[in-house]
Amino acid sequence: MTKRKKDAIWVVVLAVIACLILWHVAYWHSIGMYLKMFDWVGTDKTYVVVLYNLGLMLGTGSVLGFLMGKITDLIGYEVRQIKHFEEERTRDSK
Amino acid sequence: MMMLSIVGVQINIFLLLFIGLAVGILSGFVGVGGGYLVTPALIILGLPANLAVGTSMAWIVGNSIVGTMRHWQMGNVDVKLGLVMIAGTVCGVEVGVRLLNWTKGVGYTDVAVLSTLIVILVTIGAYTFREVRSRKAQLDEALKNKDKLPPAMRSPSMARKLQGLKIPPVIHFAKSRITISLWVILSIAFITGVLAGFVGVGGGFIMMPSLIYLIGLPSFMAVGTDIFQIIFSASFGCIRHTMSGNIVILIAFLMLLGSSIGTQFGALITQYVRGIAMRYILIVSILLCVLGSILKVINLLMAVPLPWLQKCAVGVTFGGIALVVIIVIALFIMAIRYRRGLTVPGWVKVLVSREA
Repeated sequence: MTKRKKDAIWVVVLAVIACLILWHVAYWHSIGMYLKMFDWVGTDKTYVVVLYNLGLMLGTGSVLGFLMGKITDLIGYEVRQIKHFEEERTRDSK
Repeated sequence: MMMLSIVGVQINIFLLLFIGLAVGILSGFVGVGGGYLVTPALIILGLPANLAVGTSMAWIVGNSIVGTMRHWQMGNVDVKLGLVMIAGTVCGVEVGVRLLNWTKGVGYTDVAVLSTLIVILVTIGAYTFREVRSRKAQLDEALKNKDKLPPAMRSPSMARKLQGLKIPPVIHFAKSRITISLWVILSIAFITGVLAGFVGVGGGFIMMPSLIYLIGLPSFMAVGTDIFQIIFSASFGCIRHTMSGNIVILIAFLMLLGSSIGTQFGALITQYVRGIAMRYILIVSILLCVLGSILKVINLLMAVPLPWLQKCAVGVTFGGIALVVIIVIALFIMAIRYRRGLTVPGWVKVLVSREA
């Protein structure tokens, strides 16, 4: 399997996961779950809200980060390592 | 119009996506969390201040992960240094938060916070400006004589002095190629953590210049390492704010959708420009933030606060986001033109790189 095909499969899988997260957030907003969770703060269910908020941000950030990375791979943009200690000497020595 | 009703406030979804996109570009490019820009923007939209602060902190968690992934690919993250710094930063943030709570008893918290912020920003801005001017003169001279451009400014004078303090244990960071005492790193991380906790920002705005000027990291490695350690300090803040009921997670989520695209763009632009350009953008951001904060302090010190002055303060901060994003995009376009051999203004040549 070529790298391009692998990247395309990754993009599809990650896009589906991102859409599922989006659907979940929209659904919970529509049924008023977030308002309910707001009321849980300060009760013995506070830890659920803490875990949910942190988990949602960490999870969504990871999925979107991977997705964007794979999309740039797919469109052929090559991310190069920056040579921090000689960059300006080598880059512009023309 | 796609309006969203949250905690009794009508908010346009596309505006949230736009704020995320714009601040994401800056975050990826300059390496700051972006909380200092997002918080006033959310207040403008009508969100109460405590919710704006907490929500921006939750957004920073997700956004810093997206940024770290991209900077990781580019080799900009020194994990060892980032992890060592986290210990000092988290302790410092806790002390800063406690200091802030103590000042509440005095009743001048807002003025104290903003005044501290102004002093920090002016100090960082002035030092950055001095360094950038001397570096630009060096580059201009080389271009004028058609010499090879000199290597990147490796260690500013302050960093060289601090690296000279050999208090054991002395640690070598292979990735950053620096050897420095653990106590120096922890002290810098702790002090920046205290300041960050006290003025109520994620810390990137203070940490990033500290990494460049006090520890001696190359500009882009400072960006990547800073955004990496923000994941941890912002997660700590997110937990604290959730426990206080300060987070509207739906808003943070929507902004994250926009910023995930913006951050990629911002991080990719770093491959087209020199470190000096990033420092110029940092100076402009600092200047706009200082102007907004000065206007707010003046308004707070007035016997009767003036609504128009408050609007000016918010306008300067909010307009600053748009202005800096426009500058970054313009720089990117110039860099592409320069690489293709097209005409660009002379001053652009020292800010962008010719080859990838």
